[in-house]
Amino acid sequence: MTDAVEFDRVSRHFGTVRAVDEVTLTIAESSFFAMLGPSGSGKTTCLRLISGFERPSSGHVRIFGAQSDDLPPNRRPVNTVFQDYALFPHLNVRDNVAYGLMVRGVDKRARHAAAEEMLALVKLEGYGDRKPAQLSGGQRQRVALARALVNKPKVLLLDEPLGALDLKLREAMQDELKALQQRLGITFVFVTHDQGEALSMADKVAVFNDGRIVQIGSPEEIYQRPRTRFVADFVGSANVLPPEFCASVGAPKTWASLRAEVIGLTAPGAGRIDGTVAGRRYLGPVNRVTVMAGGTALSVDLPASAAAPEPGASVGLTWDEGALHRMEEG
Amino acid sequence: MPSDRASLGLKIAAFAGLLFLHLPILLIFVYAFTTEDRTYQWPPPGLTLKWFGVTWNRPDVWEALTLSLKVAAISTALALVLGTLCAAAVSRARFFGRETVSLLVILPIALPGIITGIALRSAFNLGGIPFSTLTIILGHATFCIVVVYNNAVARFRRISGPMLEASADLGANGFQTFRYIVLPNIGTALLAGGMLAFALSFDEVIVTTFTAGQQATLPIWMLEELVRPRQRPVTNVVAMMVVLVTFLPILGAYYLTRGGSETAGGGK
Amino acid sequence: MAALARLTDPLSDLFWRRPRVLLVLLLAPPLLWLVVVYIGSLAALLVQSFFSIDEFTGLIKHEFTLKTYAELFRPANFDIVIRTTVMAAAVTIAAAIISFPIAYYAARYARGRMKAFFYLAVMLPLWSSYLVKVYAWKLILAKEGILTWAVDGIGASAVLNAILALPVIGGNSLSVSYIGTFLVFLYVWLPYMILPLQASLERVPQNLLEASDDLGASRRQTLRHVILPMAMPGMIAGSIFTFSLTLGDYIIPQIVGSSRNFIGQAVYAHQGTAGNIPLAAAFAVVPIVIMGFYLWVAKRKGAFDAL
Repeated sequence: MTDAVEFDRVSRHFGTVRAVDEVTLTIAESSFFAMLGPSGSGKTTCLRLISGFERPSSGHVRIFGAQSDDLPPNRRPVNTVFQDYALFPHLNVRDNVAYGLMVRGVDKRARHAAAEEMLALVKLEGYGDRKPAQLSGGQRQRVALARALVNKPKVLLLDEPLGALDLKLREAMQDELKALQQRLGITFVFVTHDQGEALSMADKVAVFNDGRIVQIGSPEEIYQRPRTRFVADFVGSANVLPPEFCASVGAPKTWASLRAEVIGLTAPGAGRIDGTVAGRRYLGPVNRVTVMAGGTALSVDLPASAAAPEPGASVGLTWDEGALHRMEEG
Repeated sequence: MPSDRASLGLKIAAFAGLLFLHLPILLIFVYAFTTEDRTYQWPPPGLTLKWFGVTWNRPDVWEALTLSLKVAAISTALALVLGTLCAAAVSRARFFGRETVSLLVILPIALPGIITGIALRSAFNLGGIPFSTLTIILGHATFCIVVVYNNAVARFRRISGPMLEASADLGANGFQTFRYIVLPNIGTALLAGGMLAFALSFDEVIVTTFTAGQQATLPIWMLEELVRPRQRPVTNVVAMMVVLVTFLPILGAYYLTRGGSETAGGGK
Repeated sequence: MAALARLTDPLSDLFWRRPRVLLVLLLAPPLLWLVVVYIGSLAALLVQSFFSIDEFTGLIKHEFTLKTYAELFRPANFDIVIRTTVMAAAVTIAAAIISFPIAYYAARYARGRMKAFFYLAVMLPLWSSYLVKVYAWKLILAKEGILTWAVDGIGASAVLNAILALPVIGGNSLSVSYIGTFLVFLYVWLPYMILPLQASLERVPQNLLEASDDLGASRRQTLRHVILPMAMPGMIAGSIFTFSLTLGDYIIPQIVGSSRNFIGQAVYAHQGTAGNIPLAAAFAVVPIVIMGFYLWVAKRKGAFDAL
């Protein structure tokens, strides 16, 4: 299988700012790839390096094996769903979707037929005559998707595609995007700062920080075995434990992560370390109990059905050997 | 809530101010029909339509009108090209000297007209360029650029960025993007800017007196009548026609750009 | 169309690879025009102002000298500068006072159709012919005109005569007095003050006024401490127009006013019948210097955001 996209030591500098710093990565064909990171971490610049709106300061970007550094955006086999959709306000939905075919010289009848077909795919039949301003946010997003897909791109880029939608719509679209990707078999590359979105949709996730990739792997790997403190913090819901804490429970003196749901509570003295309950929050499926132990605040998720201790109570903490995951500093 | 209603004093002051702006212009309309032909007597001793016929048969008025229309049309065309190019450059990129470019465009209208006028005249003198229709156009196009520029730059700002990238992303080259995305979106702004530039040129007198030589545009014809009144009734009719003719492009420009934040004409 | 597009592709690609090339191509024509035609002319003007005129032959001596500038300070010429500046200041202040209620009402209270009405009511006089407006005032101020008629009608001729009897600003009739000149200037430049003032008043957020209300300020206090300071940039922007336009005008004082000259008339007279181009050029530099100073102050007050 060829790689859809390949970054070979790619850097992009803006003045003295290294937006992307020596990034090397490959994106497999037909995969659903997420670039995850806080704003300013370089993920969007990486996406723009693929679409051609940015050019590498050094290194090379290859798309399906072809060097594309000198290829302007309009000649790349890549299409983008923009963050704010960037629909053309003066064109109706049908002409928006047919735009890519029109500039390639496809005749009117054929391109309108293709546009209608795409609109059906994103469940917007009958909306062809409307103007973008007459659509809801979710509908605009579907138009943007149809407008990109009608060109049959080899790679579809999505820049924070769900960022502007409300929570419920966002969850529905996550499922739809995933299903669409599997049906079409096109490589999807999407950028997000929402770890939940990245983990639930992608086959593979690259976590960005300060212009570099800090970890790349499957959602499970990222979630369960964060390589660095930054990943554990950013992906969330794992306790980040300082070296002193680890040493005090008999583990090697390094940074480590410990997931909230693998910790159990027991009587004081019966666990690996004792602590005091500092607070309790009801989160629906679980009760999240905060325990101060060894100078560190740990989150412990208990099933909502189980009894949770009152704040102030002394408890012992237990976990399986091997649940403590060692990490690099940084 | 008391602060949601304008006080009576404010209302009176506001509408009195508007009356002050409009009564003199309305007066022109009455004078066009007066039977008095030697003084500015008020109230008019009688009303007549005969001066319209007299004006219609005056070749000097027609010549001045033709010259004014010709100058305004050519200046507007030049200003449209130059102003649009400048607006495109300024809105698409941040570059060194960008502020200077904006200032340079605005300068011909920010400095008093007499300075633009005498500056052009000095230059024509030094360069040995004889006065002609061309010298009038050189001046007019220079100060019309800013009107087109102001209208276009606001609209360019609204469409630049993601929309242009989306077009390129979908396979359009730069020229196609201009044709299919930029032009449809700036079209009305350009039309509005062009109309305002036309109105500005059609009406201009100060710069023109320095660059026209012996030729008379319509405003220059009027100026001569103002300084040495000889044809009062004809002047009255011409004044009324000029008001009507300039109102059309202004109203047109207003309706074309209405609803945007950059309604035309604010920057005359 | 697509075939044509393929022909233009190479150029399009070039612009993508070298965005500066496109920028230069876009900027070159307008900049060349403005620099050659306009800046070139201003330079020519400046150069001429450093020449002088030979008193015997009346010909221009093409030698650098400051003599012409020194002439500006002769009492007769200096009076012209002072007179023009005072008039510009008076017009500006009066325009600000009359504009404020209109701009304030339009910005705060006018909605929907009323707003459009106000906008057009200011735009149409702004754009209608300058000469026609001046002409209208010639009609109004004429001895046999509507103003005298109206004043007689309400039996106030004594008041008008008393005003005309005032030294300096009075005269035989309004159309040959400074008051007349002032009225026409005020009328013609008023819209230039209203528009920027209204724009800056539009930007005063409603909730700020409510906050001031809430904190117990009276209407007058809110106006004084909240609205006026925030309207200041707009007022300064407007004053740039009224001031500059008055400084440079030579037609209004020629048609309505006393026989005493303003800067514009001096420029026109010296370059025309007198043939003293250097002195005309030096006179023309005066408004540039005054406006340069004015703009510098205005810029420091942040007035340009309101233009």
